[in-house]
Amino acid sequence: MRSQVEACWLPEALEQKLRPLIRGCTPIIKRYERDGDYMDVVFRRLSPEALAYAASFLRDQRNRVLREKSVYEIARALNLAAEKWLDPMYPPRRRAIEHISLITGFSTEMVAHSIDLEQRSSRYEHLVQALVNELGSPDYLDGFQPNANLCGMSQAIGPDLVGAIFSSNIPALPHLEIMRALLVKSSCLGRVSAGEPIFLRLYAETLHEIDPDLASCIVVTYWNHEELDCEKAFLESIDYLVAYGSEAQTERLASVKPPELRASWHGHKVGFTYILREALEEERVGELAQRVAYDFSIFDGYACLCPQVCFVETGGKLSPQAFAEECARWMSDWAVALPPRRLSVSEASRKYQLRELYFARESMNDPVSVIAAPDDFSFTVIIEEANRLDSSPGDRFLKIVPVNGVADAERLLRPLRPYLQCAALAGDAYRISSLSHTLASSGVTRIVPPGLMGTPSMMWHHDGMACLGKMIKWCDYELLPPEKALKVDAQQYVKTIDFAGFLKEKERKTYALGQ
Amino acid sequence: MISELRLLTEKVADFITGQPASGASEGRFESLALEVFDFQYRNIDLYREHCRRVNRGPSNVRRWGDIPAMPALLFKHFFLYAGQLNDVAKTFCSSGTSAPRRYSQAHFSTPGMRLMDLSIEANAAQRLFPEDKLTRILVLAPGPAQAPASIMSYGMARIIKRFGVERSRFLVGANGLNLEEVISELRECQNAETPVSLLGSSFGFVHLFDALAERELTFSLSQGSQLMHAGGYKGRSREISPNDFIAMAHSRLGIPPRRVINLLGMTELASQIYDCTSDRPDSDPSRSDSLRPARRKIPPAWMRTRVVDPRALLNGEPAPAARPGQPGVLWHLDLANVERPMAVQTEDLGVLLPGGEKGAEHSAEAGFEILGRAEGAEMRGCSLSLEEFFKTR
Repeated sequence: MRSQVEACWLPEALEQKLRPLIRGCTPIIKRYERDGDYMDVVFRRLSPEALAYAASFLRDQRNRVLREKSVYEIARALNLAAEKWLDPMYPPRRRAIEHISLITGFSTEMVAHSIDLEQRSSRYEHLVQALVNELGSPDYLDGFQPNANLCGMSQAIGPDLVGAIFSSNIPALPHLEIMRALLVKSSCLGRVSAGEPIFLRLYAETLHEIDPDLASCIVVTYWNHEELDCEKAFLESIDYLVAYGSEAQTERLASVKPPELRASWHGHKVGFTYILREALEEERVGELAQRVAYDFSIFDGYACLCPQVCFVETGGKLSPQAFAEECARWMSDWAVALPPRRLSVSEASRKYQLRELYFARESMNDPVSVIAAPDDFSFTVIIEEANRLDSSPGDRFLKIVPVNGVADAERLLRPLRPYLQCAALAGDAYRISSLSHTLASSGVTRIVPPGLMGTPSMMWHHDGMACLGKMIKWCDYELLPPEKALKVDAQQYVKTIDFAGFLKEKERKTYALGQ
Repeated sequence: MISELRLLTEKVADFITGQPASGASEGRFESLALEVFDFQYRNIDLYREHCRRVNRGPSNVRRWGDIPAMPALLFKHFFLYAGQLNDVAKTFCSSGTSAPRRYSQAHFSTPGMRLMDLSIEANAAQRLFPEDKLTRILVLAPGPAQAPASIMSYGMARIIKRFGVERSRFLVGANGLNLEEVISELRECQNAETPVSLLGSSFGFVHLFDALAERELTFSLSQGSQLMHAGGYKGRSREISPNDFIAMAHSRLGIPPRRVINLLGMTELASQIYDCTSDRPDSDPSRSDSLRPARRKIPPAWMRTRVVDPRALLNGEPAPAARPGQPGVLWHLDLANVERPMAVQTEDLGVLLPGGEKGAEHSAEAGFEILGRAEGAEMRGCSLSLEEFFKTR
């Protein structure tokens, strides 16, 4: 028996203002059960009227708080939050680990590992570097800055209010969209996922500890999928939408959102590993297999970043079979270091049936071989000469598909092109380079060596997009006519601009053109 | 080998026809089950492979509960049949809700079909038409001519043939459910005070209830009328809870809760399992508490059902029982499945009800409730389920 925990976050000032609204904010209690243990989570559903009210509150906060802060100050606050969450003794972290584990079934070790991975890349240097990567400089967010390319000045303006449909697949990740919104000085109004309802609230509380004003620029709410009036009010009150979810969900949202609402979508994705034959050497195979096994173990295969299949070229010094056996040894080790999810009866049933299907196919001489399938379902390794890629059932299911060369893998991946995301490659550098070109033009948006699939940096163009840059609207101040701009030494020219008056927005208000 | 199959089929037939209503003669059941197991072990290659993998065989299977169950998914992929291909007289296919590209298949020889007929009739005689009280039978599902591979259509046709009085028939035509005809038949039965047995798919009834609600029509079917539905919703109508279903049948058709019966059937099995409704109220279902559990199912004497926990496959136990009261997946053993693996581990979730905790022992008080289908983990969030992907293309 546990007490109830909160999933949503409403700044206190907003909560007070919502009180007079009849049924403005109603609790929805959901019970999560696993293996005889349970917990009740309280979600706060805002009525359509209250959502519109919250949006207007958040716009005010954006003007009052975010426009007045420098982007570096915001990044420092987010950095402090990351530091707190990286501290193993931080009480909310301990609570999150326990609760997320109960709700999602992920082991406490995996949740802790996930928090570490996500928060390490949420630190100051990463945030600033991400802005440099996408905007050229974070300074543009703080007012007009000289822009040598333009022979003038530029300023980057984030949306007033970013709306988020948060993700649930990676534990303790959904704060990413809050960070992205705050970094471009936007308030954030979002719907938490019932799949992982714990982290956002705790993260908002951390920001509140560090900087209550900053935390007052966030509202995390909830509505049931069928409450379309809430969804409508949400979509009509935001300036930019970031949505995670299944293909069906994102397609539906795209069809109902106001046409002018700009959006970033993060739908279903497929990742894979490709091992070139040159990598299959006795002396290196242990480390390679360890890394591949890590990629297939992390998040138990439930993240978009996770590989669903591992292509292994034939013709190397070691066979795909030998490589699979080496991987199985490491999968077993990772299952100890990062224990797998606790499966529900229903999930275990599905795994059981699928696994038995592989055993049956093997015994009927199909080109399938079950390399390892421990009784506790902690992982599965199979080799399959596939004519097409079948579903990976998740939960550390390492499927090795022997291929004669890149063309084989390309043929198998072709139907999945719109969904390709992350690829891990190992082998001869020259061939990797050529393969990378092919993959990039096939839609792959991230290429890494094995072992890094689950740990993207803040700098990654997430799903091929400049996620921060895409939210920005630029305002450029051109000081020279184009033909003249090409003739001057731009670097020297911008140094001569007296841009002091452009730095602060309040100063900008009094700046008189032509004076 | 055919003669051995014939002999076994006849023994099972004798067992089915010789059974009183209660599950007596446990010993006879067990010895027959072990005999059938021995036969199937020798004659269904893939089943034997499965048994070997879980270290079971005639030497260490001593109770019916030791008999390894075939995972239901394998019926979708393999020819699981104890005879020769040219003995197959009839093949049924599932409607394939979970993986539309693959259908479960069940192959029957002519004697196998006769055994299934016996099972269907013995079950219906006990649960639907006790003391041979025959009624008019109207079926809200396609008939065998339209759905030749559907085991449900076959079974309902069999029930009409054996128990239906004149003018019993199927009411789904080439264009789907003929509502006008259904309504006119119901009106006629009501006015003439003719008891009627309405059989059909669960979703067909939901469409009927909705249509009646739209037209603000209610019937008060005469005493002795009943409703038997099977097959679930399969996304073909809105889903309603068992209690709501019973309440709607009562309010729209005037059928008392005791006579609203759900049937669990699977293409993989020759026998079906009916709701036991004796603990339901005679009339007013508005007190939903009195309906709990809404769907207590008790297998017929020639079947056994266990609730197993697929998570605990350690120590060579092929199908460990779920803890009493804890949900697990349903495991059925059907003696009438002589030609096909008689023990099947399904993907249906269920729970043993109080009185049924012994699990491995059949008792008249025992029963189980279906909780739904084990759909497995949806690939959550942003990881694409390839299964879903290929399903839509």
